Formats: sequence, structure tokens, C-alpha cells
Amino acid sequence: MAWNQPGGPNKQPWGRRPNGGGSSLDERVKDWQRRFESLFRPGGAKGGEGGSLIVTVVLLILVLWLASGFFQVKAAERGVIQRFGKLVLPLRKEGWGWRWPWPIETITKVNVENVSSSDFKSRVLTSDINLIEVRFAVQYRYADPIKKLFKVADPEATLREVSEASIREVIGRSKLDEVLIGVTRPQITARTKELIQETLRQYDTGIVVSTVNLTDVQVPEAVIPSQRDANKALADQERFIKEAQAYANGILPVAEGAAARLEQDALAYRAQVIAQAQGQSSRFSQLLDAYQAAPEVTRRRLYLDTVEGVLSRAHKVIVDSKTGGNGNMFYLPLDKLMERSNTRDTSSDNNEPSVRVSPEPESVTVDGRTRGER
Amino acid sequence: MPARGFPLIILIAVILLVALTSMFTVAEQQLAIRTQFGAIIGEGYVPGLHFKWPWDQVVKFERRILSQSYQGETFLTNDNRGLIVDFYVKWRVQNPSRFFQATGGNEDLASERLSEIVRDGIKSVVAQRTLGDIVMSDRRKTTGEMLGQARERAADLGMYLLDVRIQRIDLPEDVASRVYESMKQNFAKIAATLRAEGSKQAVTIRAEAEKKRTETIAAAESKALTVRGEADKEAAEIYARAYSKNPEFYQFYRSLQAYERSLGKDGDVLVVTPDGEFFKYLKDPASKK
Repeated sequence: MAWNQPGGPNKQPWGRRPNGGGSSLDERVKDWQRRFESLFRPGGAKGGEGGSLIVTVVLLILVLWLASGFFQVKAAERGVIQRFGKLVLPLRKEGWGWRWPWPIETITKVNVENVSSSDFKSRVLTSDINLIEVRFAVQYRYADPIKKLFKVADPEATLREVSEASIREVIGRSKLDEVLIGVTRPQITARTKELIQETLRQYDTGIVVSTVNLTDVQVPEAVIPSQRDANKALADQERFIKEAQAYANGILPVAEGAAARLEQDALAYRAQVIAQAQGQSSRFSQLLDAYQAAPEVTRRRLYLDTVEGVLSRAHKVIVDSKTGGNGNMFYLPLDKLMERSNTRDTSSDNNEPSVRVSPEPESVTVDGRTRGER
Repeated sequence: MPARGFPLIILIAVILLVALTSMFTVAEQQLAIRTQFGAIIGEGYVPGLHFKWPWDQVVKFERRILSQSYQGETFLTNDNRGLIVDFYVKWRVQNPSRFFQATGGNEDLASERLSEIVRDGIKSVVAQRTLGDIVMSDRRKTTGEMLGQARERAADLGMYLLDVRIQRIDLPEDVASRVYESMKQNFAKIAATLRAEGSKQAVTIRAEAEKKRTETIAAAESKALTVRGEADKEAAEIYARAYSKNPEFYQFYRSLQAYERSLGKDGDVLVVTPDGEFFKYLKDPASKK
């Protein structure tokens, strides 16, 4: 009350308020204070009034105390009531209820539907003495509120201990490969769940395990690179095979193409050779017909045509052997002749004799004295 | 009335105090014993409200199953390998007065006494087995062996030993790193095998493909040669049919063709004597032979 005593407006915490604003409140508080003090003051001025006040206060406290006995149990909960510590059945289900307030009766509400999860990560030994890191979660609920409260001191710690022991036992009987490869995991979790549930039943915890999950299984940190390499090796293996298959797929069609080419070439050759043969034969046959009509003339004409053609194209050296024979030598510069013909070749590279506009063939006529037969 | 107010309050307070100190409750999860000047004068209280003399003392214990876990204990196996074992003990107070006498009702002291009992049991269990045996064992049976004896010793302390179980078996770090090494080697072996297998298959596939290629081409060549042979044969037959009509003329005709093709090509130099049919008139215009 010190702050509300007179002593100047500056001392009031609520400085902005006008001085008279709190006066009626102040009066009332002081009145209450007086009455309250009179309860404990022997020979107080208003004793009779104080006596009835005691009753009022006691009654009020009693009512409040009794009112604190009301409770509400939610749908998923069960209320367990203990009277002086002793369990009072039945369990309270959903809805409002009343019990004797503390210290006579107490109520503890247990959620029997809420599924909790407990998970841990740990290094586990496998049966072939390998180490593996396991992350593992157990989902559970308290199916029996009485057991939860009265049978085991710390059901959650018990669940953790039992879960850890069980997963280790199950993995301890499996080989590393079985654990790492996902196929057997359902079996592992199923066996673990069974084992946990059985052990918990033995301890009477009232816990029901709903699921057991192996959320993560991996080899220890130090071994991961090696495991990755093994995985990469698997990919490499597939890659090698695929590359080889690609190579095979690449060369086989090419080979088939080449084979087809060979066959087609052969067929083309056949067509060509046979056509040629037929052409030549036909030419010959017709010529033969002409020849048989006039053998002598035709024969001579053919001969002369041919020799004419041959000689007209070539450089020639005509040596009359009959006029020679006296042993004189003559010099025939064959190399020069060849050379000249070569330069002429390069100047005109048209080698088709029939179309050729033939320049003057070099001709050397040597009269006289050859040494030998030529 | 105002004069009696103060003593009344004192009186009520005293009555309340006496009433409160001569009552006690035992909860469903509790056990209790009543002592008078240190001597136990009552036990076996059912849950609920009970009365006592105000100077009596009540000691309460946990009725529920208690758990005690022991971590990181090292034990030696049969094959002399150190093994780190965590284990837990489930127990409860069975005989409160004996428990009170043995431990003074102190749970910490109790669990210490318990750990001595259980540790001995676990030690002998581990010492009888090899590492592999322990890892693979049925935990319940393994610890079940030592449970009977430990139970007897625990009963002396007023405790009931419900279960002892191995929670974790681990290897000391140096052994673990050796295990890591062997795991690494194992993976390396797998990797090498996989790669070798892949290479082998790849080489096989390539070789097969090449073999097939060679076979295809060889077959095609064989077929082509056959076709060519047949063509040659057919052509020869055609020629033969035509030319055999007049072999002598064929010889003449073919010779002329050969001269035409082979003689007098560009650059050829023919050295000829002016004899023969062609030069007949060159030398002798009057020749009539």
C-alpha cells in the first residue's frame, strides 16, 4: 500500500492518473483488511461478523475442494482411480466424472491409443563377425493402463532395453549380406517384433508393439568407400557387358552389309559375264555368217583392217632384211624414240585409240644394212 | 467466543497433526514396512489407508519391476578375446523387511550389490563361449544359465531377479578396426570379382560377335565365288557353242582381235620387215600371187 499513501503526486507509480481516481478502491481494500484482521484479534470490534465469516470461508474452501474432484477423460484415455493409493475399479472411460479430491482419491489418465515411437542407432555385430550400423524404430502403445502404472517402474526404458537386445539378437544370428540386402529385412523386423513382444509380455509392461522398422542399415563409416566401390563394380560389370553388346550390335550389321555386297557383286559379275558371252557369241556368229558367204575376201579384209589399225598407231621401224646382209651396222636410237613418245603422251592423255586424233606417227625408214635378220 | 478463538485453533491443529501422523497410505505401486525405534513391527500392507502410532516410521519401497543396466563392461571370451557387454537386470523387491535390513532401503546400494552378483554370472557365461557363440546365441537361454544361481543370491537380499539379459555385445576399438579392414577386403574382393566377371562376359560377347562377322562374310564369299564360278561356266558354254561352229575361223578372228588389242599401243615401237601379206604390194605393186 506504500505506493498509494499520500506523499505527493510524484511518488505515485500511476502518475498520470488523477489523485481522486483510486479513492473508492482504496476504501474497499482497507475495509477488507480490517475485517480480516478482526478474525485474529481477540476482542475485536466486530467479532460476531467475523465468526460467520469463518464459516463462509471454510464452506468456500470445502466447495472448491469438492469441485476439484471433477475430471474429464478423453476418448483415447482411461482414467485410473486410486483411493488412498488402492486401485478402484472400474476404469473410467470417455466423459466427465467425479472422484473424491486429493488426498483421498487420485486419478491418472493413460492414453491407450496414442502410438509412440522409440528409435535408436547403434553398431551391431553380425553372426559372421562383421559390424553394421543400424537405425531402428519401434512403434508401441500402452494397451493396459493398469500394467503400465503398476507393473514396471519405467516401461519406456524397458522398451528401449528390450528392443535393443532383441534387434541385436536377431541380427546377431544373421549374416552381413542378409542384413544388407533388403530382401530379408521383413523377416528380421518380424522376428524382432515377436521377440520384443514376447519379452515385454514376460515383464508385464502392458505395451503392445505395433511396428518395428529398420529405417537404416549400413556398413560402418570406415567401410563405406569400399562398399561404394563394390557397388560401382557392379555398375562397371554391367557397363562392360553393355559396351560389348553395343560393339556386337555395331559390327554385325556391317558384316551383313558386306556379305550382301559380296553376293550382289557376284550376281552382277554373273550378269555381266553372261551378257558379254552372249554378245561376243552373237557378234561372232553374225560375222561367221558373213564369212561363210565370202570366205576369201572377208578373211583378207579383216586381216588388212587389223594390221592397218595396229601399224597406224605405232611407231615403226621397217627393216628390209633382204637388202642388207653385208654386215653393215645401223644405229637405232630406241631410247630416244621412247622418250619422244613419252613427252607426247603427257601432252595428250587421251588414250582412246578410236577417238584419237592421231598426230603424225614417228616413222623412221631405214634403208640398207641391217646386221641380222631384222 | 473471541476469547476461545485462539485455543480452538491450536486444538484443531494438534488433532490434525496427531491424525495425520497416525495414518499412512500405501499405493498400488508400493510396498511398505513399519518400524518402531528401528525394529520392524509390520509388513505386508495391502494398498490403501493404514494406521500407526505417531512415533512409528513407515518405509516404502517400489513394488514394480525395476531395471538396472550396466554398460561398457569388458569380459573375456573362451578364445581370450575382450568383449564389451552391456546388460540389464530386471528385479523387484520381494521381501521388504529383508531388503530393508540388507540395504537400508537404499536402491543405489541395492543395485550395486546386484551388479556384483550378476557380473559374476555374466563373466562365467562369456568365459565359457567363443565370440561367435555369444553373438549367435539365444540371449534368453544364455543368461538363463546363470540366472538360477544369481536369483538365489539376490533372494538373500530380499530381491527377486526376474531377468538378466545381454543388451549389447561389441568389440573393443582395436578389434573393431580389424573387422573393418576385413570387411573392406571383402568388398574389394567382391568388386574385383564383379569387374573380372564383367570383362569376361564382355570379351566373350565381342569374340562371339567377331566370329559371327567372320562367318557371315566367309559364307557370303563362298556363295559369291559359287555364283561367279557358275557364271564363268555358263559364259564358257555360250562361247563354246558359238565358236565351235567354225573353230578355224574362230582362231583367225580371235588372233586378229588379240593383235588389235596388244600391238601398236601408244609408244610401242614396231620393228618390222616388210614381208607378208600386208607389205606385199609395198614392194611389188604387180604382185599377183
